[in-house]
Formats: sequence, structure tokens, C-alpha cells
Amino acid sequence: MKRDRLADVKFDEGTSLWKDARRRLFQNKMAVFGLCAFSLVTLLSFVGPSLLPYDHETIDLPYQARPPLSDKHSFVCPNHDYVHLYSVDENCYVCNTPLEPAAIQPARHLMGTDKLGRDLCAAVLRGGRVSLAVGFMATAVSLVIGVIWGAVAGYFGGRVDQFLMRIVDVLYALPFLIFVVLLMVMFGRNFLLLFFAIGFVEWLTMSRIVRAQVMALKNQEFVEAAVALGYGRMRIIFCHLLPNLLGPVIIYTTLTVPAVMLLESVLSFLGLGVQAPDTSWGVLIKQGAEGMEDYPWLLLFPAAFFSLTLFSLNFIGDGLRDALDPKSSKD
Amino acid sequence: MALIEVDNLKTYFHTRNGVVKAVDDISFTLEKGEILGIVGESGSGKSVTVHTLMGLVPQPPGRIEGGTANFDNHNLLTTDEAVLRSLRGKRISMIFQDPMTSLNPYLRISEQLIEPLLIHEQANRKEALKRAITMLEKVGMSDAAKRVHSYPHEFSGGMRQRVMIAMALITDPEVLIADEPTTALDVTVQAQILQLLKDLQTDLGVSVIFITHDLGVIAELADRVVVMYQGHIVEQGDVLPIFENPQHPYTKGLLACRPRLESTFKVLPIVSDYLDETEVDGQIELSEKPDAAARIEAMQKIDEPEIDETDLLLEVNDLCVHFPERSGFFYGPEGWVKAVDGISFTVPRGSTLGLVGESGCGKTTTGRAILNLVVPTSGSVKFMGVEIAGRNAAAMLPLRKRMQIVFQDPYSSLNPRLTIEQALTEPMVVHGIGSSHSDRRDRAAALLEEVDLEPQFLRRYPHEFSGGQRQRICVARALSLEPEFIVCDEAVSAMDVSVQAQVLNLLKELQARRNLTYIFISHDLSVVKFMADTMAVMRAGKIVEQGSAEVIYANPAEDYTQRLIDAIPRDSVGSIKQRVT
Repeated sequence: MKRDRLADVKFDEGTSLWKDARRRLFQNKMAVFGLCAFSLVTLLSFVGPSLLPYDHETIDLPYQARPPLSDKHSFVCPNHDYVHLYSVDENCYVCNTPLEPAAIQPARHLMGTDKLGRDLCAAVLRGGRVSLAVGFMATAVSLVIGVIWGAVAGYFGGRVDQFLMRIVDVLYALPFLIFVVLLMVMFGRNFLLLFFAIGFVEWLTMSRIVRAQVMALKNQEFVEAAVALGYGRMRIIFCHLLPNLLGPVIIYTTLTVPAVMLLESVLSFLGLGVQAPDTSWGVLIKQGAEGMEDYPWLLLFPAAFFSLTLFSLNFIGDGLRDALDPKSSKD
Repeated sequence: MALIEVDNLKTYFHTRNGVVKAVDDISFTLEKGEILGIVGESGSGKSVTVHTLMGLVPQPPGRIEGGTANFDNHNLLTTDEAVLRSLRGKRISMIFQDPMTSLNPYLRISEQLIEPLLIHEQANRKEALKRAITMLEKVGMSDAAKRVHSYPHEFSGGMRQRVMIAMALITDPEVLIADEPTTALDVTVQAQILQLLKDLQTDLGVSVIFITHDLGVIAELADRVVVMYQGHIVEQGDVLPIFENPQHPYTKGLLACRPRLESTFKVLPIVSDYLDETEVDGQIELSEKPDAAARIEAMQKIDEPEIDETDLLLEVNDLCVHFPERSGFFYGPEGWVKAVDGISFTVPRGSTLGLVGESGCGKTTTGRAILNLVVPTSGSVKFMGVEIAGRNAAAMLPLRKRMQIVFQDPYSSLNPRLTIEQALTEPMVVHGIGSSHSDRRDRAAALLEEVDLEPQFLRRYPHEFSGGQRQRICVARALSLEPEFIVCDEAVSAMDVSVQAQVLNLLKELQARRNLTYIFISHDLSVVKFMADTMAVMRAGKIVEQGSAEVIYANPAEDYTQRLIDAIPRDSVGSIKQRVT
């Protein structure tokens, strides 16, 4: 009889947290928008540069410092094969003959060019590769170390906690730049090292957040019930505590990604990160900000891509947090 | 003339799943100088009623759909916020259920006590402080002048509730609304607080609306009673007639479901033994079950299985659990808290041992030490003749499935991120029970049926259930390993009496069916007496008295035990008669 009653019960195949979460995530319009926008930016960054007529290194002389889609050309002296950049009415300052306009060429720089005549679009897309890679690798490193470190410290408490947290304190006290310089000196300049160096610093705060959350959660009776049911420690930490931490962890992760991207530009400025002609959003924004009064597009486009990425990450983050909370279920 | 007059009050909540009629067309009055008890189970709308009066219902989702509530020419439902603020805390005060969270932990209680005076009477601080100290003395705090500057954490739960009461009464209000002020407290503390409220009410002449789920408390305190069920008032009147001759089947059920020291029920009657709900044209109609009397009659005649006293499942000998008072990385503990200090008892297979005592007496630690959830400092715990005290996690693993625990708080003892199916099948996975995923799911469904829940619930999350249902799920989870022994740690203390009766019956039923052995921990002697065969009374880490539950109740050897017995609210007609006349 019992079997008969059970036969009537309709089970959704797999009602695990993750499957429910995926369903709920795709019901959230903002999150779906974020996912689409983010995928587009990523796709453009990795595929885009090869579709453009220029790469980020080629200098297109007549088009120096041109606004987006400008077909305005430069002026040439008939006697010299010399391009005059900024003069319109003046004569050639070498031979004083009046200048002639160079052959008009059609618009070809989607986002304009920088002061040297390099295509900004190519630079932005190329820079996206570096920024996204650094942002995600470093965040992943910080996420993994920080969550495990904090969860272990918080759950075991006592001496384990004291020991692990004092290490965190020591690392907090270490000046970041000196730490990075030391790494570079020891291992040489290396792109991979950049991921590691930034991630290695960013995990500290994550571990503190996770530790505090675990300490609050571990006194809940479901954790004690798990011990009484004979679950192992790792199972309790990773299957029972961590899913309950997802809210703050996701929020902090979406905050870490932009922080990491900006940190990379600081390192690059000091010559420790990516080097010209390679570039990143952080570097482009920094350069664009320097000349923002005369060439606003140099700031606008990298900043727009940067912001779009951060917005979509935040939407995805919010969506994920809601999706992973069974209480927000709409059915 | 009535002080507060509520007419046709309707408070609805507009949620995603439709309109919830939390309070649906109720009318009652509060007379000057009386104690009005509003009683009902959780979800009956009793809290929403007073929250509506105080203007504390969040809108939206709440909406007051109609009615009036007159207090001194103000309609509390429509007056503007500024007027309401001048009434709240000044002429109408409120105390809340949980004294642990309703005081701000970061402010000294002196600050919190004088705040209403500073706001409502523009008193100066010195004057206010003087009144605060007088008020604290009135609520029974000794050495009030010194302790007024303490922080909330320096007080026990009962003391904090006294501080809350002092805070509510300091502005000399006309109405005091008490929203389950004793539900979170031990019975002994509850008795003190009830006595205090009675005394203050006579002293200050304040009118009180007292909300509770427990008719026993009403019997001790109230002059008049309003019984609420599903947003409606099903019965109201003076306290004596209601207890002497309850009219509504719900009231009858509520009266009967409370375990009584003198009763001989082997199974507790529950509300649904009396109350029939039938749906007529979309309206739910309540009527009395025709066979109610016969059912109750039968409940007194159920035989309990014989217990073989020599077949000991558990032997505890000289068990001690001491906690270090403070210790750091480089230095040792400064002292020891002797939570459990040398206790011994035995539990025969199939029987129930009741551990009873006030909070802080070590009964909970005892339960955890037996399961090795806290490591005993010394002493021995033998489970079926095998020593288990001090075993490490790996050595405990095979024993875990034979001994289980059910906790007090059904809200925090289920992982909110796991479905019920995951919660029930995970123990089976860990212990290798069941052959496949679908087999374990079938077992989980069968377990739900065993605790009277629907198998469909498997795919839901804990937050979709009520407290009583969650506790059933916790019981099902404990049973998923097919244990022989379960520690019930205050398993029903957080519940309404009507739900408590259901869970107690379930535990008894499971015991009979599966030959389970229980240790039943509670601060409420009446509950322990209902459940237990033998009883141990604990105080300050030691057992002061143990023996058969019947004998201890009839003949308590210790004053302390007598105090525990006296603390249980008396709701016999005789004692009410004595009180009101």
C-alpha cells in the first residue's frame, strides 16, 4: 500500500540546490542580461582583435588622435613627405610652403585612435583579454584559498584558528608592492606570476569574511546534528556550511573582480604588470584619464567596457545569490 | 468604560500566494485594570492583532482592511504616525517574547531604561535615572542602583525580561501589551515573571493584554480570555466559565492537550480529537467531533509495554564535563566551569529517562556528552556494555547510527539549503544504508509517512514548514539511521502546547513501535512526567534526586524538585476559583 502511494508522488528529477538554482537564475531577467552582456564582452575580447583591420600595435599615421569614426584627414607639405598633425591654416614650418590636405580616406577607426595613431578598438579588445584573465584568475585564486582557509579556521576554532589567523595578520601587514617586487626579483617577470601575486593578497579579506560567517553558523543545531549523524568534518564544512555562506561570498567576489583589475593597472604603471605594447583596461583607463579633456574617447571606451563588465558581474552575482537561496523560490 | 475597544478588526496580508486573512473580523474590549488573555496557537493571528493596535504591522504586505480600535478618542488604526508615536511607549507599552534579542546588547540597561522618559516626558537624565532605579527595584532586582549600569549580557533571561518589563512600565502606561513574554523562559522563571506581572498589575493599576499559546498561563493570570483560531475569535468571556465549561471544541482541545501532573493519559488528546473542520462553500466551518468524548476516554486506557529493568542500554558512571573558563594561545585555562559534575544513572532498553532542571543545570551538556558531542572530562558512558566516552570521531562512526539526538530549535537544526530529501538521505549515504538513490528516496518517503507527513514534502526546503512539521522532519532524520537510542534535548520546549502534544504523542508512538530508548531532557516537569518512566532532577551539574517519575512527583524529597513542581501553571478549575474570588 505504501508503494502505491509513493507511485503517485511526482518527483522532479534532481531537486538539488544547484539544479534549482540554475532554473531560478534563468528566471531572473537582470541576471540573464548580465550573463549575455558578459559573454559578449568576453567573446569580443578573445575573438574580436583578429576580425579588425588593425592590431593594437600598428600606427596609422594620418589618423593620429582622431575621434571615433572620423574621416578628417591630415595635412601634407608638397615638398616634404611629412604629416602635419594639428595645423590647418599654417604653412610648413620647414619650408614655409602652404600645406595641402592629404588624400581623404574613409572612416576606419571604430573608437578613434590614440595620440600615436593606434586603433583604440583593437587596444580595448586586446586589453580585455588581459583584464578579464587577471580579474578571473586572481579572483579564483583568492576565492579558493580564502574560502578554504577561513572555513577551516572558523570551524575548528581554538589553536588552529589562532594559528591560521595570525598568518593572515602577518600577510596583511606586508606591504603589497614590496611583496610583488620581491616575487618579480625572485621569479622574473611573468604573466602567471601576476595572477598569483594579486590573488595572494586578495584572499586575506575573503578568509576573514568566511571565518566570521562559519563561526556564526557552526553553532546552529544542524551542524551539531550533522556531527551526531556521523558526518565527517570535511563533509560538514563543504556540504553543509559552505552552501550557507554563498550569499556573502558571492557579494565579496563580485567586489573583488574590479578591485583586482584596477590593482593590475597599478602594477603595470610601476612596470610590474603588462608592458607596452600589450595593454589592459586598467592601463587604457589610466592613459585615457590623463588626456580626458582633449581626447575624451580615449577614456570613454575602455571605461565603458570596464563598467559594462562590472555591471553584468554584479547582476550575475545578485542573481546567483538569490537563485542559491531556497527561500527566494517563487513557486 | 472600556479602555480599548476593538471592533470588526481585519488585518490581511497580501502575499505572492494570495491573501492571508491573519485577523478576520474580530471584536473585543479591554476594561480598565483588567488582565485580558489572548490565547491561540501560532498562526492564529493573536500577535498580529496587537501589532496592528501598536501600528507595528509592516505595510505592505500587511493591510488593515477594516474595523476600528478606539483608545481614548483616538482610532489607533487611522491616527497619524506622530500621534501614534506619542502614545506608543508612553500610554501603551509592549514587551516582547525573546528577552535575549529585544534589548540592545551594546547599550547599558540604564540608557535603555531612561530612553522612554527622555523621549516622552523630556525628563532630565538624573531624574530619569532615579526613576529607572526605583522601577528596577519594583520588578524585583536587588542592588538596582549598582546593576542599572550593567550591559544586557550580564543578566540571565529571566532578569532581562524583568528589565524589559521595567522599561515598558517606566512611563506609567495605561495599557501594557505582553506578547508571549514567558514562552522563551523556563517554567520556574515563568512562574516568577507571572507573579511579578500580577503584583505590578495590582500595584500600578495598569491594564494588561497578555498573549500566550498556553491556557495554563491564562489560568494563572487572566481575568478574561479571548480564544483565537485562524484569525477568528472562537470564544471569549471570563476566565472561570471558560475553564469550567468551555463551549467551543477548539478551546476544549487546547485545554486537554496540556500534559498535567495529575492526569493519567498515556496519549495526549490533541485539538483535532475535538475539532472537525469542514469546508462549506469555500468557508471553513468548525464543529465538534461527535465521538470526542469516547476518544478521550479510550486514551486513558492504553497499556504501555513492560520494561525489562535488567537489560541496560546505557550506563553512565560518574560523568564529568568541565569547560575551561578562558584560555588563550600561550596560557592555560584560568578556571573550570563544572557543567556536569559526577553524575550516574542507567537507562533500561525501551524506557525513557527524563532529565529535568532549570536552564544552566547541565542537563543539555549531559545529553551531548553521552553522544560524545562534547568530550567528557572523566567518567564512563557504556552503551550496550561498550565504553564510548572519549572515543574519537572514527571510532564513534559505527555507533552514531545507533544513537541519535533531536534538538530544541527546529528552525536551526535543519540545513536551510538542503531539501528534505537530501536531509533524510544524506545520513544513509554516509552510513551506507540503502542500495541506490531511488531506494534511499523510498526509505526517506516511508520515514516521512512514519512521522505523519506527506511523501510529497521530500522536494521542499525546510523554510516551507511550520515548527512542528520541522521537528517531525528532525525526528525522521534521526530515525533514518534506525537508531535504538535517541536523546530528545528540549525537543518540544519551543512549541505551542497544541503542537507539543502532537510531537509528544508521536515520540511515544515511535517508541512503542520501534522499541526505542529515550533520554528526554526538559525544564518542564509536567512534560517529563508524561514521557518518562524514570526521572532524574539535575541542579548545578549534579543529580539531586532520581527514581520513578510517579514517585518523585507524588513525594519530592528535595525543595528544588518541589519548586519545579510548583512552577507549573495550575489550570484546574479549583485553583482559578481560588484566585479570582
